Amino acid sequence: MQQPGDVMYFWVAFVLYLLSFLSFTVYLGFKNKIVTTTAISAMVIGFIFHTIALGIRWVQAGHSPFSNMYEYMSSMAWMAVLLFLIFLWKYKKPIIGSFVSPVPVMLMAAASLMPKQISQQLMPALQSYWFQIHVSMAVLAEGAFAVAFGVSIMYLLRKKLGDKTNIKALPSLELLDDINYRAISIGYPLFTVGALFAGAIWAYNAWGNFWSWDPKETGALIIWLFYTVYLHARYQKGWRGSKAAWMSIIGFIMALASFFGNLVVGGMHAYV
Amino acid sequence: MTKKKERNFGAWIWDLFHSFKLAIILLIILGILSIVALVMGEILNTRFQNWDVYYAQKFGQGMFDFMKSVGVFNPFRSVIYQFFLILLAVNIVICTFTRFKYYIHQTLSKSFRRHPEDFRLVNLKTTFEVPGTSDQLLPKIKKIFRKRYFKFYTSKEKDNVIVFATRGRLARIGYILIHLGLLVLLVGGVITSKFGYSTYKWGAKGDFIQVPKAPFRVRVDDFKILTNPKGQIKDYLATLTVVENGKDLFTKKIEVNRPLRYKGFNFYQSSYSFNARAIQSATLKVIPVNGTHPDTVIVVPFKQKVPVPNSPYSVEISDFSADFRVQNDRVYSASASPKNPAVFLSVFKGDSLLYHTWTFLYFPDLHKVKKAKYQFTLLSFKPSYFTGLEVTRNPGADTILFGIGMMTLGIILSFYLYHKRYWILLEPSKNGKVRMLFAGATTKGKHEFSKEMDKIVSEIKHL
Repeated sequence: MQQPGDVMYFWVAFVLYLLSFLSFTVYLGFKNKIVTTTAISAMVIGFIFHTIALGIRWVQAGHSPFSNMYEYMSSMAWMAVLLFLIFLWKYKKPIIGSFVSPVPVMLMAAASLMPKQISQQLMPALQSYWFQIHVSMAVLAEGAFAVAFGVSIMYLLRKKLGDKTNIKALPSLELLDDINYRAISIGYPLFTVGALFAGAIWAYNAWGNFWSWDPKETGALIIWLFYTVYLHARYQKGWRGSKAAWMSIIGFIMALASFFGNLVVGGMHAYV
Repeated sequence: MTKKKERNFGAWIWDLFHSFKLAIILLIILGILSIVALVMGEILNTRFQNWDVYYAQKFGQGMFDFMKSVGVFNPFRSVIYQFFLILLAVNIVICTFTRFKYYIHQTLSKSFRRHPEDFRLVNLKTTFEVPGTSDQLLPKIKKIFRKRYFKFYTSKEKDNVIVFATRGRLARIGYILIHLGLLVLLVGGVITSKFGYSTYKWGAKGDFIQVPKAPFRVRVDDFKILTNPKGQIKDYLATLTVVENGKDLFTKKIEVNRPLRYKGFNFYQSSYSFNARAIQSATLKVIPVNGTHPDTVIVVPFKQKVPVPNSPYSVEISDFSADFRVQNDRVYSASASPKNPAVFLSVFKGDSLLYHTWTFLYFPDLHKVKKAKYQFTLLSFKPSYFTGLEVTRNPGADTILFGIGMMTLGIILSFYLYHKRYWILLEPSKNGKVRMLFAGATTKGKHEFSKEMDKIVSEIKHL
């Protein structure tokens, strides 16, 4: 068994994310420049280490790093951080980090508990380029939903505290709502095309049926129906604000449930 | 009286199916039903053999029949689930087609909302004055919009000029494509579930696979399990030949993810099992009884005559049993695992058969032929496997793929293109100035859009 060379980089990234998360928490109370700089630079440097870790793993394994729970969760955290950094750069509101940074930290913590061996031999069913398309897009989508989740919690908190809070740095409700919608608008197409369509086409190539009501497939369908409701309700009925935030939170919890359901339920996605 | 009531009811039904509200409610109902079905599928698991016998015993036949008829064991095919799916499909058809005209109009029409009265309807708007005349300003305004890849239209009404600039109109087509694509996909699914099938077939080397409803047959020429040096499975490889009208048409090697497709039938390498009645080859130890030669080891492929070195003899293995048993003089295998492997060995001198006997792996002295000049013992054997083929007929596949294509294109258009529109009403004002009423609307991305609008407005103000 080959020693995975990425684990050290993974731990460094984890520790830096943790540092960033702590700094962002401090930022809630003390809005000063040193705290902000620490928080953001720890996140950026952590992201670089994380990218290296995934890169090493990709090279060592000879296939994209999605073939077990450790790799998958690490990739998902990577996507959440990437999106967060994009939003940070775009909206220039470091406070978003106070609510979004716990998400990658939790994902990394969960990933760190998983076995980290590299399996160079992909089982035959996974030897398809649809595997790469399907899983990479699903990971990206769930990362985006994770960001929406963090922002939604922030929205509800901001609403509850109103203007009587000491946390002056909280961005406006309108902006939070906008980011929530934005993140879901990024995640939804990826989820539809990647998790559902690419998965269905892959299943057709490997087993002859597009859809077989496997527990994971049903789970994905439920999540898709839920976010579809979100988009229609928002577009037509003007569901914004708290309602939209709650939906985003529930949606991500369902995505997590479907994700960890693997460990319990089995079925076609029980590869790890 | 009743006629009027009926018409009202018809109108009510139409309004209902024409509404987004129904779509949202139906999506939620389908979501809840899916959750219920998922949980039920886990509790009343049907992923094992003879599940129907098991549950019939557990609940009693009457109860079982009732549960089955309600769709408890196959909830996604139940009447209730399909009923709501059909309602959703009807809802989508009506919503898409009634809004179709509106979307096409918004996409293609130049005159859309050109009238100043409509400016009231737009949320983002501002009024300001710029020095100059409409004729002087228009080319410059056009430049500002062209720089941002907007289509630019102008029209005159008496002294007033109305400017309409638009970008990303295809986003509107995207919504239509998504919903029509979903319908196409559902139609494909119905075609497959009505006219298609999916069945499981096992085949050993040389077997013909019976394909229901097919005008041809398929022969298994070979099946191999490839492993890497560590012994992990790398691939399953089956060689299949399509035989039509008694002729071999073509041969294809299939593996997982690379099926054989012919005339709408698909053959997928799906699984394998240990063949209890055949092997690939056996390794035999040849012991000369008189001791003139040393012992030799030979590999004998299944059902092939192999000469014994330095002798006029040859051997053939024509039968195999993994778990040897005899009943009524018939040899069979008691199980599918190699608990007591035995090969049926025939020894020839030239073309004439000298003797045949069952030779056992674990009991080499059993059935020993006395007076023979050579003794044969079975050292090992290379197992043979059945290939497990998923044979499907999927007549809706192309329709489903087309629907997926439509939806994907629609999603790309509607999620990554924003339909942005600007209107400017230019009115001559006093002191050689032009009064501008500036309005903007977008399908999404309000935050960026209002920033862009501010920028455009400030560029126009500084002309």
